[in-house]
Amino acid sequence: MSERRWHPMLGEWVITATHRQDRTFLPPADYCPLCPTSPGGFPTEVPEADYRFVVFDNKFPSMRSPAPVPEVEGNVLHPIAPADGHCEVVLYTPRHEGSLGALPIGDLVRLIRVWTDRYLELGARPGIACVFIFENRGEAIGVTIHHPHGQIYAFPFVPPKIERERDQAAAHFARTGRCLMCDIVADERTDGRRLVVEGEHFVAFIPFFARYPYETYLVSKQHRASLADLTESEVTDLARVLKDLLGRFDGLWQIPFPYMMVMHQAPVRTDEAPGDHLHFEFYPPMRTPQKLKFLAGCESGAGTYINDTLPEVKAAELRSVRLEP
Amino acid sequence: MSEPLAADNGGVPAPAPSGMDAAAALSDLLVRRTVRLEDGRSLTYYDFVAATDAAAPSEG
Repeated sequence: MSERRWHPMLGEWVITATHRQDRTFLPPADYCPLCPTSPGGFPTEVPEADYRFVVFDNKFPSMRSPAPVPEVEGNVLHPIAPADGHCEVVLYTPRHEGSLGALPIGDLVRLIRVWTDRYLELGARPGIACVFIFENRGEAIGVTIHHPHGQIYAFPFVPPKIERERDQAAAHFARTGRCLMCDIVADERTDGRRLVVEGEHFVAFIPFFARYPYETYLVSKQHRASLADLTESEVTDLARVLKDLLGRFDGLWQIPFPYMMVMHQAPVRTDEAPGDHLHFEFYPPMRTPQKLKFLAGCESGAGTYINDTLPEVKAAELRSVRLEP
Repeated sequence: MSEPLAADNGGVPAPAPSGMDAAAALSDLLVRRTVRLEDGRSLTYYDFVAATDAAAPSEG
């Protein structure tokens, strides 16, 4: 069962999805449900023996259409609604081993086009207010299947973090006539101390206000509201900078670096505001090779993050990583 | 902190191509094949037209 329950104190929706308790949990590599079905082998989620990229409806979705009727009745204080929406899985490769950052640049270019296609297709469906593309990498994040993959949630509402970010951008635009993210990019490039990698069209940096030690933003240098606005050369540069950044993450401690990667852009193509500016946010949970940055009492209970490190120092560490040729 | 520079485009959002244009451009690049799984879920295989594939960067 899944449903939306309104949090009246925070003014945001919570989604319940009780069936997800039974989802596949860390299967052995030879029983991976995301590998292609091999001749004579057990049937996996992907019927064919080979593919370039595959996108499919999540078997254990938090939202679906049509959504089931809510389990309980709501009231004026506690509104409830069906969890309408879509949850998709994007497989980056038929191979069980590997990662997003291990894809050749050509495949990253192709993947960006697949993301763009899903953004446009899902965003055009009735009732969809926000297409949210993301990847959770590593058991430290709670990944339950290791096959390289990302996810897409198509929400019937704009989630609160994105809404708050847009409100701040709208206020900045009203005050200055400029895009907030354009100004942030300009400031980071001028300062330079927090830059990690810079390409012709995209730049990655640990923002001045980072909440995690290695929190990194990957941003279009030109004002682009969404993936759908990128030119061919910008798509290629995004692939190059993305691969460079992910290589630095993995090279930092010579381990597969866990992260959450989320994409922020205009929620859907028909809902673009002047402050919508395409960017990726990475939230790596590690602060040392052995220690996690926990979202503990202050972060979870007060909403204020305590960062034990300086972004200028962490960015220098990532810049100094020697990339594999 | 130094003073913010003007962004590459002066911080003024540029007009974007329409959603229709972007979708049409992608249709020239992508080959999609959607199948229905036994449990009713949708699955789409993505491939790329040969000319586009050959033009994609291969290094890395």
